[in-house]
Amino acid sequence: MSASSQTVEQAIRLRLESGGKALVPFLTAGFPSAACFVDALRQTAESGCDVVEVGIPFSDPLADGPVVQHASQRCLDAGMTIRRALDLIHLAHVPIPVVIMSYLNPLLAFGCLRLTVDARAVGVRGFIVPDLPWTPQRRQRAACARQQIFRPSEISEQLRIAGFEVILLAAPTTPADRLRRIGGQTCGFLYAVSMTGVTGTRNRAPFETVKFLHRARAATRRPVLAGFGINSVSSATLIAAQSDGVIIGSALLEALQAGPRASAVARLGRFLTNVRNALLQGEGV
Amino acid sequence: MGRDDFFGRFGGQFVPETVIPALEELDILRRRVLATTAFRREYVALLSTWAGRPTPILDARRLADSWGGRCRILLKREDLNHTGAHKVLNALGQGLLAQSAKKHRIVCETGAGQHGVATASVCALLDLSCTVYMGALDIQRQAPNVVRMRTLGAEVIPVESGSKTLKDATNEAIRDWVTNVRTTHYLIGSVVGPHPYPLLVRTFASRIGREALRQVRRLVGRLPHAVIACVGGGSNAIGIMHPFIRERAVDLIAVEAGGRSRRLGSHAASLTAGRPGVLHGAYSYLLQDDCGQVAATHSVSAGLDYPGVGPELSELHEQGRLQVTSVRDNEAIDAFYECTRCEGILPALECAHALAFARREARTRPRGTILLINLSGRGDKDVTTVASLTTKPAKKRNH
Ligand SMILES: Cc1ncc(COP(=O)(O)O)c(C=O)c1O
Repeated sequence: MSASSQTVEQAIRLRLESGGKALVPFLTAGFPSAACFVDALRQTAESGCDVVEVGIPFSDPLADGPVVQHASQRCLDAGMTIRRALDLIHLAHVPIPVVIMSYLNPLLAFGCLRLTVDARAVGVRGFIVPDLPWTPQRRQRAACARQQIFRPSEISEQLRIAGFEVILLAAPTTPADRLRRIGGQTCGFLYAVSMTGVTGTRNRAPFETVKFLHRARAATRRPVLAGFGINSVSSATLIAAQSDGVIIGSALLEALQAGPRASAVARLGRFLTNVRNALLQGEGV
Repeated sequence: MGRDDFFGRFGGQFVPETVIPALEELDILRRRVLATTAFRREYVALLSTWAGRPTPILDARRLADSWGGRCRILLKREDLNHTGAHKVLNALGQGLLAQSAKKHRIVCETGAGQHGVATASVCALLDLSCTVYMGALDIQRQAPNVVRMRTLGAEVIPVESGSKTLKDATNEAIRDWVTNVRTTHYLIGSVVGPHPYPLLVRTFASRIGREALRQVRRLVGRLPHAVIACVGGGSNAIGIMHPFIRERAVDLIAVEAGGRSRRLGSHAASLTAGRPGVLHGAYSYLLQDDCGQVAATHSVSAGLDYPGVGPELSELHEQGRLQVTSVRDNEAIDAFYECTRCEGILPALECAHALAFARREARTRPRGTILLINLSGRGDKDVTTVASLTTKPAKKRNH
């Protein structure tokens, strides 16, 4: 049973049409505790977020900085799994589209077929797999068919066929032709990695980010949302002015980290509401 | 990308988008530069005058005698390489490649410290800046190599996350590379990681096998019956085995770290006990739990203490071409002493695993069997570890 009747792209377009910019928070499943995570997930919708990303913890998160690493490890130590994360998403029952962010290996271990069935059952709309970059599908399939083998790269095609929005990432290093092809293939939105680096690091070259976001918007018909290094109202407004919205992760985990459950969730809510208001006023910047 | 970046179903490029263009560039560079005479001439000249190659093969008579006297034991002396292990072949090759790509900063991971020392030395030679990530546990157990790296001018960064060993050092090296990809070459230390690294590292490491094939033919007039090597990521193994793959009569035997027991977390035998999965950019055999979380590992040898293995070895294993086995910590330590006392050679604890398995084979194979073993490195770095683990050194064998 789906909690939100909208697709990821519909939810973002609705926001853009009303003159605002999309706000997409990232939360690690089960962080800082299962109960607090469920409250936090509900809080994101109440604070006016458009889509929410739920991170499946992984032992070796290559694209993540210390904040997400620690959060992931803590959740793994507490026994978090894909199955439990789906249960918590089901429990939270949020009215905005939910996207799963997971590294490839936990998805492979869970099994693609089971994943499509179980994820759909709790209303998950899309997937982001940071270590599964875009590859030319035709070439992949031909090679696999020839050798009659399964390769993990096929998982994104299978998710797409099952009706999920598979959100692809582009980086400032992505060359023009590749960017165009990624922009053509992505569903939901194009995830623009705003700088070379891992999550949670400060953006030292905002000017370069602006140039990249221009390139990215010219390369796709989908909305372009920027993530990585956005940790404050000011960085969110700056980046949102050049894109269709922002993704905020590490800063939220930091807000959730300390104190009792109610105050942690309230802190998260205040932070998101501030960003939300700034992104509404930010129109025309 | 017009070609296939897999070995069968293994390999691939499962890394963040940020570094994909760098991998493409490296692949193009690899194909353009490696074959040129200029590159080859410089590489071969430095291997000979700086790294001391080719390395000899030793007919280890006393070791053969102490193992029952039925088999002939040939040791490929990679311990005689400059910096003390086969790792220098790859470090020098990639260093030259980075230089030709005008990347002046090198980042790498290291477990035993051998790859770190080789890379730090190459960087000193080629005037490149060098950052080495090393697990905090490995920094402790391979202390002499840390001093060497710092003396050579490398920055050694301790990694405190996860199990504080090679896997975590590799995570940090990749994160550094993702951040600084425009200026930095990631000099990976084994036949692991995203395409084209497994191919690139194998290209350099397989010189071991090409030399050995020639040397064994000259020495005994035939091919060996078996080639035996230890496997961490697999560079010394695929390095010595590659030219023998098409020689169907030659057994290829990979020896993994059996650690303390068969329980997940107590060993590092990825091919023996793992399932295919994705770690550090490649799909390959991997030690993991039911949920796809990478398992903790243990080995007395820091260089083998790694949950993954190179994709080409996974493919050879699945084809049935590669025999896979494992040896426990204590057996490796016994073999370490035996080699030391019989041949006057301190072997690295990594290849002591290969020696330990060769010893088992030597007792069961028919008389006259020839075993070629990759003595991948010297064991000076391991003396404190071994001393602290053995209250009484194994007695010298009399015969
Ligand atoms: C001497 C020696 N042998 C073997 C290894 C294991 O690596 P690989 O399996 O890539 O040869 C190491 C790694 O540090 C090493 O130092």
